[in-house]
Amino acid sequence: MRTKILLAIFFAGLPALAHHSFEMFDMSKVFTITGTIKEFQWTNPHTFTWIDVPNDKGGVDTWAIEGMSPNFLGRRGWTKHTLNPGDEVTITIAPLKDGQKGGTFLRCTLADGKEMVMFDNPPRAQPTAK
Amino acid sequence: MRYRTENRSFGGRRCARFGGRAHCGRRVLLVHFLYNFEVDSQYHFHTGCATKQVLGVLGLALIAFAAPGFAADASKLPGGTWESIPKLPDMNGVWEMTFGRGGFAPPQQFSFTPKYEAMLKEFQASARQESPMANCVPAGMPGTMSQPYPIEILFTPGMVTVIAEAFMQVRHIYTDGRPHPEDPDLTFNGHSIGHWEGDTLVVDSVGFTTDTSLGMNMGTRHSDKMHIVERFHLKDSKTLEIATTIDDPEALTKPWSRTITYARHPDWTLAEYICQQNNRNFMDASGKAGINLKH
Repeated sequence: MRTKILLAIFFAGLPALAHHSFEMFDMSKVFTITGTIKEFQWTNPHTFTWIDVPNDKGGVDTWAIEGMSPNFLGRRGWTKHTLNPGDEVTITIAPLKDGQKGGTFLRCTLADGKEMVMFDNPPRAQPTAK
Repeated sequence: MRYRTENRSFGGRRCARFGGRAHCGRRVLLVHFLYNFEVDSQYHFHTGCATKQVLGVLGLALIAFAAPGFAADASKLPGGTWESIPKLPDMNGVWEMTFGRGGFAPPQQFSFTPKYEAMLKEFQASARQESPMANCVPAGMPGTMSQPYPIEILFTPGMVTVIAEAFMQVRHIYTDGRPHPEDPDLTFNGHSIGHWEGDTLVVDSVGFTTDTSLGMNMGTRHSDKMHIVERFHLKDSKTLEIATTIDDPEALTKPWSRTITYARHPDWTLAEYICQQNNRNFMDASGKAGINLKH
């Protein structure tokens, strides 16, 4: 419960960080996906990370994760080379409510173990969420 | 004085009044006279009282006679020449809002008139949740000043320019003593004039389109009578505070204020922001948020 309240407070501040509302994301679920980077679009108004994630059926789903813009991230340690095709990474997301394989990018762990965040202190995955 | 912060029409001339002073270029005293006259006349200047209309016209003629073209002595105003600009507080440079201070206000902070309160309730009860910003339409004022991207301030003779990186917006604030246009076109960022009160740059803006809102979505609306006063003040050399007061005789029952703090970033330059480059977000016809994930 406490986690949910903290998340609610955190996400209430998020609209100020984007050019659209966060209504389409399920802020009550935060989880990680691990896979291989297909493409990292370093574009405005949002970066988009396309990542191939193994699914339960032995196949692969391509997820599209919306992130902050190059303008915002470029001033906070990111570059267009932070994520590269073929990189194995784990990304923490809040998923889309509509069931599409997508979500909003919160933080990630690179292949070398380095952690990158989208903004200050984004939430971590909830142990039970998926 | 009955009104602290109001817009009034002076025989067609729009003047802004706040903090005990009227601002209409430097015609303060005459405007002061006309303002009091108009308040006493219950705003009937333009609604059919012939005597008052004649007096209004005479008053305007007097202004025209007493205050020749504003440009004539604009160079004597603070910041009117390149030489005088260094004497002003140094606000030149790149600034970014410190997050968590100011920014977009929750709807409950506004004191709406019944008509605008009903518009908010109707919005909240509907499926709409989004702003045209999702479709890359710029926020307009006051949102232009509270985006999660830097602004750059430039002083040139007679003008202060604010460039907002988000949506690549430009605001021209004329400090050469000119008044607002009598009948301004309605725009996203309005028409802005500025003057100095000590170390504070006071910016007065009118002429806003009603296509924009006061907040993150289209629930918190304003009218074309919205009037914004911003007080730019350096708290220290690295910290800029802009105290903003918005009044709107149609939409708000009392003025709304916020203060945003910006931090100076001497090493930053503004970056390009073309929202249409890869915008996968959208607001659909019903006002709901959507996202296009076609690769």
